Amino acid sequence: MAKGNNSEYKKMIDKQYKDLMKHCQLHMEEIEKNLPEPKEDLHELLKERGFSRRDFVKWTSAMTAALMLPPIFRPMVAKAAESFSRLPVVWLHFAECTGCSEAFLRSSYPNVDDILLETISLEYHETLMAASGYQAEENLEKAVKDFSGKFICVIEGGLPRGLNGKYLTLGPKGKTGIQVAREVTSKAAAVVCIGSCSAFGNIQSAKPNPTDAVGISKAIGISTVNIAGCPPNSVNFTGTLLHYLMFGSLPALDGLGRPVWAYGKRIHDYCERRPHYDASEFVEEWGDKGALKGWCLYKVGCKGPYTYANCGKVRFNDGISWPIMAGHGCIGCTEPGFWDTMAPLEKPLDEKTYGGGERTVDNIGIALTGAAVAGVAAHAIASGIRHKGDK
Amino acid sequence: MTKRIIVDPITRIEGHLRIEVEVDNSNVIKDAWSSITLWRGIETILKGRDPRDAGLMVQRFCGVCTYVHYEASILACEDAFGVKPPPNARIARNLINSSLYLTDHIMHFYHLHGLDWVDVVSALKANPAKAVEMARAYSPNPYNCSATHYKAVQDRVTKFVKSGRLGPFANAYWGNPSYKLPPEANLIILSHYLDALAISKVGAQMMAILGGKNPHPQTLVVGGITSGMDLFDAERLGQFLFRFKEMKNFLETAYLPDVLLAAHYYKDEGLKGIGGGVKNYLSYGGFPLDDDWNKTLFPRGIVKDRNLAKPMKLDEEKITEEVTHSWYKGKEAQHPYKGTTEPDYTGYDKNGNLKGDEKYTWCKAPRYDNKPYEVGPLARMVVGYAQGDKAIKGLVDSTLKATGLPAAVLFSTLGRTAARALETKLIADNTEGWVNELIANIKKGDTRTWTRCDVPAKPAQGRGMTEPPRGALGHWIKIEKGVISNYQAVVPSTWNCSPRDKAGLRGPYEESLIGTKLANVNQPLEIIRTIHSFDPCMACAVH
Amino acid sequence: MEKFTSEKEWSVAMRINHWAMALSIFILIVTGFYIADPFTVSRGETVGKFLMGNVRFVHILFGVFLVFLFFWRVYLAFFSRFHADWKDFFAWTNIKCTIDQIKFYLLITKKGPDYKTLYGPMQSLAYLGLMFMVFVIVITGLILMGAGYHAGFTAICYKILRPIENLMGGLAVVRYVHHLFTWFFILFIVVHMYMAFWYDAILKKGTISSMISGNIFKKLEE
Ligand code: HEM
Ligand code: HEM
Ligand code: NFV
Ligand code: SF4
Ligand code: SF4
Ligand code: F3S
Ligand SMILES: [Mg+2]
Repeated sequence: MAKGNNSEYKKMIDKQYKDLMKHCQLHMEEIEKNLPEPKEDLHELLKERGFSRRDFVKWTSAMTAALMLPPIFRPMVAKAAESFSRLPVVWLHFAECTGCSEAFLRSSYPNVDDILLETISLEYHETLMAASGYQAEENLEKAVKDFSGKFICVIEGGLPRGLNGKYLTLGPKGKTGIQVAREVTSKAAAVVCIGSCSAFGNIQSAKPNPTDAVGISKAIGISTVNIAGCPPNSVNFTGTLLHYLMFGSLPALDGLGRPVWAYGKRIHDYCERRPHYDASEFVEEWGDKGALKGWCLYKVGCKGPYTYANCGKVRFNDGISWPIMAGHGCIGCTEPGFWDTMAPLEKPLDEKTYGGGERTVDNIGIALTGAAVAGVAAHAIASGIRHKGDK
Repeated sequence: MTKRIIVDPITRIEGHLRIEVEVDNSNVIKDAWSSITLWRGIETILKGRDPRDAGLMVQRFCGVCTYVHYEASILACEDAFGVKPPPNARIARNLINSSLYLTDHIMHFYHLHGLDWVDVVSALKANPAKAVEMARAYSPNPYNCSATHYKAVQDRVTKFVKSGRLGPFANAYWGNPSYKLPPEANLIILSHYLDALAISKVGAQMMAILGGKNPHPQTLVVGGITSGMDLFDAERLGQFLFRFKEMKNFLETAYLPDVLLAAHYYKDEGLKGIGGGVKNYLSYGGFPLDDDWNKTLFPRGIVKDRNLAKPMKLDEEKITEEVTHSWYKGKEAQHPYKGTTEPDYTGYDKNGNLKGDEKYTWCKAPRYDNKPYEVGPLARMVVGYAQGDKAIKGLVDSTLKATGLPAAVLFSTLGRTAARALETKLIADNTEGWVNELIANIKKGDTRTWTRCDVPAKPAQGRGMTEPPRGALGHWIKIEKGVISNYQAVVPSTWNCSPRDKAGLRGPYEESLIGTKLANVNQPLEIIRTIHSFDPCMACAVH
Repeated sequence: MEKFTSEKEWSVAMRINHWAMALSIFILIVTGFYIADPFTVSRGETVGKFLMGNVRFVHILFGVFLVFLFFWRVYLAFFSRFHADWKDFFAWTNIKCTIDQIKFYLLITKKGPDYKTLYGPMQSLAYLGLMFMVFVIVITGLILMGAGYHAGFTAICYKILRPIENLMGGLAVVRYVHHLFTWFFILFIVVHMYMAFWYDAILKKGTISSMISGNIFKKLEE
């Protein structure tokens, strides 16, 4: 490329970022006007937990990079973090296991993310809130009314559509999950699905899906941002909210509603065991020599090659570990329908079986090929007889 | 005249629970129904799948007691496959389970149960200096205890109140006369409520070291465990121990003293037996201390009619589930190997209330020898105490002595909550020993993490029985043609949240509410306090 | 004594395309199976080994080659200067002729039907099916490739094809379909080669050599 072109290009990018920055500044001003005062002073909390100014700067730099923004955005990330507790959040539970809430509550520690999540302004969250029964319902109604059009609706859990939705009823009036989801999301500024249950249906929607459960987007026909995973890494959740605070919009999403910055590459692309894959060094069975050397888990069923997520990069629980580091393959928990498409979980894909027992695609292939060879041979002999003497 | 009160949603639990009670004119509960309002059908989904996949799938029953269904399923498969994991794997599983207990019980006491005992609004009136004194009376070196810190906690919460955005504390039953703690005690526990948020992360990290992540670890396999690289790494074990000690310190300087503090002010309720419930207790035994589960930290057995003098052996054949009052098809009580899970939903009555005489919940009714049994920390302590288990008896007796209370105080809401704290201590007292046992075994040159095994080609069946935080857990698996032909899980919260059975016997939640007087029917604090003392998990109970 | 005349049936382009495709498919099947079910190379240092890496490289190389061959073949079908044969792929629409040929294949009749098209009805069906198979394996292959290579032409292809991946149910399904179709190729090859020999033996038209020389023998009517 000619040098001139290059600087043209640079100019274009610069302009794009300038526009983006302007947008960001405008939006942050909006927030200061529209959203309530921060509930908590982030810097005080940071100090109390022993974080220095420098730690915070380091964190904002890392987060800026993670969100795929240039360094000039660092101060905006900092500002957004300070505004974190302004954002009213209504958190709904449907067909789920509360693992996502747990993951969110027990993210990294000691870490800035963890403090940010701690300051989040949960106006409604059934696992944490003190009020029960009618008072709880009142809280929900009040939050939806007070912050109409401003709150983020976080949803954990899928929605059963069977029995007209009555596999799940909620609250004193016995509304179905679908009813509640419609009522609340229609007033929300944005809907964030935390976990593969609300994103894609997950475990309850695995075949034969007895309750006809699906993700939120499919159940009530709205678009959602999907923080996929079972549970997802809370970093992906924090980053998405930060982005929302900065720009008033959700980050770039892939075709399945997952933020590209977190779900843009596969487990296999980030994997620390990848050199062993390329070198044909595989764990052949649990606990073998390769297993103790950290070889690739492909042959014991790792589904990293089919799974988009950043687990290997950000890891879990303050970076302590992640499934592949702990010697078990990825089961593809950020992908729609993974319990079916990735099964059997501890075998490679081509060992999927049919009709019980041993029949895999290769067994069937071999059998068919055998039959074809036999058929061809029989045909050859029959032809020999039938066309004997032909010229 | 009776009056019906509905509490739905019951918050600070896992999942979707509805409680309905009938109170008389003096607001005493005369009858009660507990209903779980979500069914997911995971047992059904398991059919036809590779048995080795079941563990990771059933783990998604619950993300709160994450790991336990994974383990129970793996144990069931190991039973069916006829294989035993090597000692390293057995010990590692105990360590993971220990990390769960430490995290889960602490989180339960503070975040799920604490606000039933603690009045947050009252805490704001406390004198921080006096609170320091009070805390010192219960622990020589209380956790994060100083007047400045307590003041900071007050300031932080006051700020919420002033902003008009109380968040999770909004609109609760504050000021209810059933709150008995003085402001200083409220402040101490509230400050630990906030500390516990951070500390529970440390427990989660313990699990992640050997489990790969938390929630939903991913290292168990039929026949062993996959995290050998972590197990055989001294630095990793060091990280585990380091975190364990942090948890243990919190347990000893916050959780246990706070429970004793609360017990001091609520002992009358305990003595009155409020929240006692059904009188039968059951434990399957948990934390194997040898490879054959001959000795377990929590003993296996039952106690009937609170008869501590006559502990009984557990006969697995007597475990059944029935669905007379549950939204499923079926007539007879069935042993889990023969169990079915076919929905038969009949909904609410025309007033929008539960049809208490018919079917009214997605929860099945587990019974032992046709009787309802309570499971959980209290059951474990009662069974262990009755059997004369040295560690359990010692712990219970010394605590009773220190508080000057009789053993009967155990059979109450308060007793249940105290039993949970005591067993956490028991586990904490053993965890370091398990790490040492592991190291000794590795030093002997044993680096096995897996015993080779395969899915049986012939029809096979097996069960996994263990003791997760909320009580006795059993998974029953049947395998035909190499795939699952039936799978039934009978879960701690299924036992405790059970509806009535054919004979009309109420389940433990329901029974525990009978006779309780509500101070204010618009603030049914007493109901949620007793229900919370079981640590309900609905996703577990109905799966 | 019967008389034969030799007639040009296949253009050079067609023949090169055919054998290049045959070779690629053969290599793709072998390397594909290794990728699906690799064996471990135990000896040596990790850094000194790269078997899976190399096999994948070869697979993807020939995969891309097959993509090119496929488009070339489609081009020839429409724009070949020698004989644009796209219509011939629909010979099977003549039902009577198709039935006659099935009878011939099943040895019920001793002589097959006459047809003007380049392929008989059954062949046309087989080759159309085959083109479909190549299409599917090419698309799925490109998706699998796009998932792992994030720049340049691959990335653009992937952007276009990603909705198909989502529609199919994710990469795992794509990979599975890719594997499944590998077996269809194997089945095709068995039958295809046999039929080539059979044609040679029964019709004595020199079918096998025709794919090399380009010429086919035709019986001269007396
Ligand atoms: C007849 C043609 C082909 C055959 C028989 C074939 C066969 C296979 C097989 C058996 C696999 C392994 C699947 C598994 O794991 O179960 C595979 C993987 C793959 N194939 Fe093909 N393939 C063909 C064409 C192509 C083409 C045209 C492309 C791309 C342009 C391609 C790209 C790939 C890629 C990228 C993988 C995955 C490799 C990896 O992720 O490491 N293949 N192929
Ligand atoms: C025994 C030698 C073979 C002979 C005589 C032969 C002959 C033919 C003929 C006459 C056609 C139809 C022409 C055409 O449509 O291009 C054809 C198509 C084809 N053959 Fe073969 N073939 C042979 C072996 C193979 C082998 C070993 C492979 C693959 C591994 C193969 C792959 C194909 C493919 C992919 C087509 C269809 C593509 C197309 O229509 O161009 N052939 N073959
Ligand atoms: N009940 C229950 Fe669990 C526990 N502990 C499981 O077995 O919580 Ni979700
Ligand atoms: S996504 Fe997984 S962890 Fe989250 S609620 Fe669903 S099952 Fe639980
Ligand atoms: S362990 Fe899994 S993700 Fe990692 S290189 Fe191997 S196959 Fe890929
Ligand atoms: S199983 Fe899930 S947690 Fe990450 S490594 Fe795989 S996506
Ligand atoms: Mg069950």
